[in-house]
Amino acid sequence: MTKEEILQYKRRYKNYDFKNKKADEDIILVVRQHWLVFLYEFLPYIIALIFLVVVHFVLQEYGFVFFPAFNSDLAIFLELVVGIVLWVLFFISWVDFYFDVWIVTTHRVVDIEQLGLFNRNVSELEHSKVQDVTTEIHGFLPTLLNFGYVYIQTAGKKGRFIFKNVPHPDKIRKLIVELQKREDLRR
Amino acid sequence: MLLLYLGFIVAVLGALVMITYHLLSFRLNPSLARFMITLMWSGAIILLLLNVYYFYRIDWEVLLAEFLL
Repeated sequence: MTKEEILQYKRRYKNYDFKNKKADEDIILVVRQHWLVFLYEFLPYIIALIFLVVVHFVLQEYGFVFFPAFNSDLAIFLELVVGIVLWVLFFISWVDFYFDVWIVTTHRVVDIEQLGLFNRNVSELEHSKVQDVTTEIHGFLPTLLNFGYVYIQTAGKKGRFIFKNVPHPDKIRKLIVELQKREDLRR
Repeated sequence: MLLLYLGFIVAVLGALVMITYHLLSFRLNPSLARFMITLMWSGAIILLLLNVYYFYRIDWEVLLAEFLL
């Protein structure tokens, strides 16, 4: 990986920021899980929304056939309640997905894991403590779409950092190895 | 009924405020965060206003009396 490539990464994330970012630190890479994982998580919401729309039209047309005391306003009210709950749950899931993130900076790797709205685990690893980087692409779809796992073996307490289902794991491995080499040369 | 409904609205607003807080405090990608906050609040406000409108259209006393009988 050349110096120019690293500079390109830096430029891409120059407007990005995160809590506890050091003043002399630049973000090089922000990685989330592959879009297929995103799709898998959001599919239930899409199905539920389609179901809600179908139920709405069926009830408006045949409500009186199914329920003699059918109240159209009550049906719409209840559909809206379900719609609001779905809307909020969708955004909670999105936050969960969006904040499950790995940030590679010029100094370290930050692993942020969001669990629901009230739990967040943050761990970090300095490049100097990286011992070994391994990638794993396992299965038909991951091979086809090029996503998989990146394992970073560390000398620290945590033992191993795992990037789960990330796109282009080989590129990430090369980048981390390059940054570790640079850190070693700097010392 | 009104109390139950108010509880629901407070829970929804609480969750929205919490998500907004996360997005604003994390600051990873400010433009995307702003977009998602706008989308989330505008959608939620439209749905909540419609919901409140239908809540007041329903005669709950008659409905509950019918249901209990």
